[in-house]
Amino acid sequence: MLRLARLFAGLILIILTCSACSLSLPAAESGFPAENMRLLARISAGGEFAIDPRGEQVAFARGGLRLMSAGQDRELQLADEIPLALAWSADGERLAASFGDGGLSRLVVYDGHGQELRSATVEGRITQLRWTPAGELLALTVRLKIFSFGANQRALLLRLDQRGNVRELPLFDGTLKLKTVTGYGETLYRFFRFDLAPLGDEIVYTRLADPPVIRKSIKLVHQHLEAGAAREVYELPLEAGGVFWSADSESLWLSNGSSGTFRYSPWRNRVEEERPLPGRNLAVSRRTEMQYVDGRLYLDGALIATLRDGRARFSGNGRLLLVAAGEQLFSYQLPAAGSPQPVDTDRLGRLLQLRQLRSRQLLTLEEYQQTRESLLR
Amino acid sequence: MNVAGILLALLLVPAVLFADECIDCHQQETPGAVIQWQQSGHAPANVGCRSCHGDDHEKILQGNARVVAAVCARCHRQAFAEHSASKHGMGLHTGWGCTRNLPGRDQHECRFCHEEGSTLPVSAVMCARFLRQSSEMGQLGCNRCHMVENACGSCHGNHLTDLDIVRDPAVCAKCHMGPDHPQWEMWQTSQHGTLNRVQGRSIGPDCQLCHMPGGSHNVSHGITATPAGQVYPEERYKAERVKMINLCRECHAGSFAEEELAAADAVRSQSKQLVAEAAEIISELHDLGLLDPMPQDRPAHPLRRHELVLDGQMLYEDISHIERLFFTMKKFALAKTYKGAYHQNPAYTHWLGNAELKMLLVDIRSEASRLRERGGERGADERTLEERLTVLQGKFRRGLISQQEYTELKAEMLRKLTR
Repeated sequence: MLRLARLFAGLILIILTCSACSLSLPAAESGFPAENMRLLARISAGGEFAIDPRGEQVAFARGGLRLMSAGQDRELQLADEIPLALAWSADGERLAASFGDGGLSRLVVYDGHGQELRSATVEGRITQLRWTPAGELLALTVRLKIFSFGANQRALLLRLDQRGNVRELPLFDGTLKLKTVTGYGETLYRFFRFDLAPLGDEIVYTRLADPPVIRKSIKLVHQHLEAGAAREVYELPLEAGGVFWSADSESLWLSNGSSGTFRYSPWRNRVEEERPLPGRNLAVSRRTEMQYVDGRLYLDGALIATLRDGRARFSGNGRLLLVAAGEQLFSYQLPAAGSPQPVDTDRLGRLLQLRQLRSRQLLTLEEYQQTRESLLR
Repeated sequence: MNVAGILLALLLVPAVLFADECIDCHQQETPGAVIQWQQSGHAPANVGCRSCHGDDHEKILQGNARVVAAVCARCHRQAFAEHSASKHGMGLHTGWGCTRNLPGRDQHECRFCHEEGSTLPVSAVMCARFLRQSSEMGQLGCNRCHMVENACGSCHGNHLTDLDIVRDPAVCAKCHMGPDHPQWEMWQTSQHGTLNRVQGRSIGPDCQLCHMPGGSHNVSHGITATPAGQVYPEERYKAERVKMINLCRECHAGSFAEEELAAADAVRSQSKQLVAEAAEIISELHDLGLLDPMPQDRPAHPLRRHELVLDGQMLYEDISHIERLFFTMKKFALAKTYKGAYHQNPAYTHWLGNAELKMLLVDIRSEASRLRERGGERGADERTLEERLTVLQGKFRRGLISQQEYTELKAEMLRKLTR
């Protein structure tokens, strides 16, 4: 509460101080200081964008792949192709991008200045990228093989370490009805999404369930990257907005895309917190308890501002939010909200070990919870 | 003739008329089948081709009009009910695997075993060994026996109704022979088998006399355990035992029969203990990561993925050598020992069963020592927390430590993690 009160006071102070400033944007926002928001760039409609963890550089799609400094307006063209997926490494030193080319994808890693470091060609379409805190690159690859009776859909998580070694983690291998393939076309790929826990050890992903008779749905699957089996933890409707890990890597933010957005525990299989918003556009800060839901910005469960409604991404440090609305990319400088207590390397190692024991089902949830609390005390 | 009889006759008249139409061609195309039908009880009873096969010739040619048990059940209701209640009535359920590659598969079958949209089977009764086979092997090596659930012709022949065929014990031999359950060989070389051969079935009982008395289609008469050897709950066990002893009493004193079968029960229980000891050795090696290869380092089990599987879904391929020894012990030697005892065959009970069982346990112990030595097994204090918790959990799951001991030992291990 104290943190919230400070934040409100900060916001009011900023608003009062800058009341004379002219807004550079039309008044689509409310409750947010005008000088902390700006129209950053023009972007291809529906194009990918990613902000580096320090909130200093933005990579985005416009007539190819472009890189710009969030503080300046200088832009650099990195590629002429439109990227399918983008991700900055945890240290902000590397940018990964994937580009589509028929049934193949090209994966490229750039340094922080936009210089190409390495590239590889991969079978299938790389629809999403993430970097682990340890520097491993995760690429979600979806392969679709169409037959006369339907299609085989295969999703793999490619794990590329810093030496260039690749490991494959199969996520799904199943059949889609022909009607589904022809009806959804390119949008089929959007049903496969994944997110990596901020601690970098567990993933959650969605996959399309396409049964012969009953209606389609999206299954939510949780998996530790090194231990234990994949577990289906929830079922969502097709219009669901996305899935994100909470900042403490213990629960998930989900939306059903029509009436509700909620925080869900994949271990206890229960809803922990709810928001009465469809969550068609959902983003979750990985450092702070801040969420963006359909244009609303929440901190510690309280609505603190209304912003543009669009596809949103938080920077890794939780200080910048980008929102793509139509062909415009907006940036919002966020207040310094409290972030979880940093954990020293030794305790972090033991916490990861504990989480692995939980995934191997060697502990009860109560044993896990008690030991975790003792460890972080 | 009662009303039902008249109605049945009226229903069958068109079938016979149509039968003639089929026969004109089939006397040329499949003369053997026509002769079999003409000699069967179906022909004089006016049960023609279309009564069973239907009248869609295209469907028949595509192999989609098979005469499954439900077709026979239209007339043979009691036989079908008895068959369904028996172990033969679950032949497919216990052995059925994915039909994806089988000719004539019905696409609607997928949903029996698969969650919608997934290729991962979820049914607990799926046969993992079947899933490992090629479609040809699945068809000829697996389903030719397990199809008995849904194919009366499996024993009777397709167009025949001669009961001499199904009263001959050789009809059972097609499946009930070989290393896993050689009941036919056991019986044939037992005193019962010899008497049957020399004096006939009125003196020497055969498969049908003991397990299908009075011509019943329930082949599980007097059997006291599941196909996997799990003894029935007490009430059912006692009921089946009484049924069998009543049969034995036609030739033997009841006390003799009771003692003989009780001794066989004891052999079964003792033999299962030996198998349990072997399973414990392998489970502990698995918990310590010493199997070679470990389940996670070999092709995934079609149902249980990378679990160690030693139960009825155990594979005989893609496993470690010690598991292969265990498979032989459990699937072959155990079955020979106790089934030999129930079928009064001392050679099977002892030399082909019990001796093999014990020698395989010797091999398993020896292989376990080799694996421990090769793996440089560390003392309990040198193991990682995960290894220690895994071993502890294995002991708890196998009933070697109580819930309280398990919880306390685990809490002590976790305390070390937080220090």
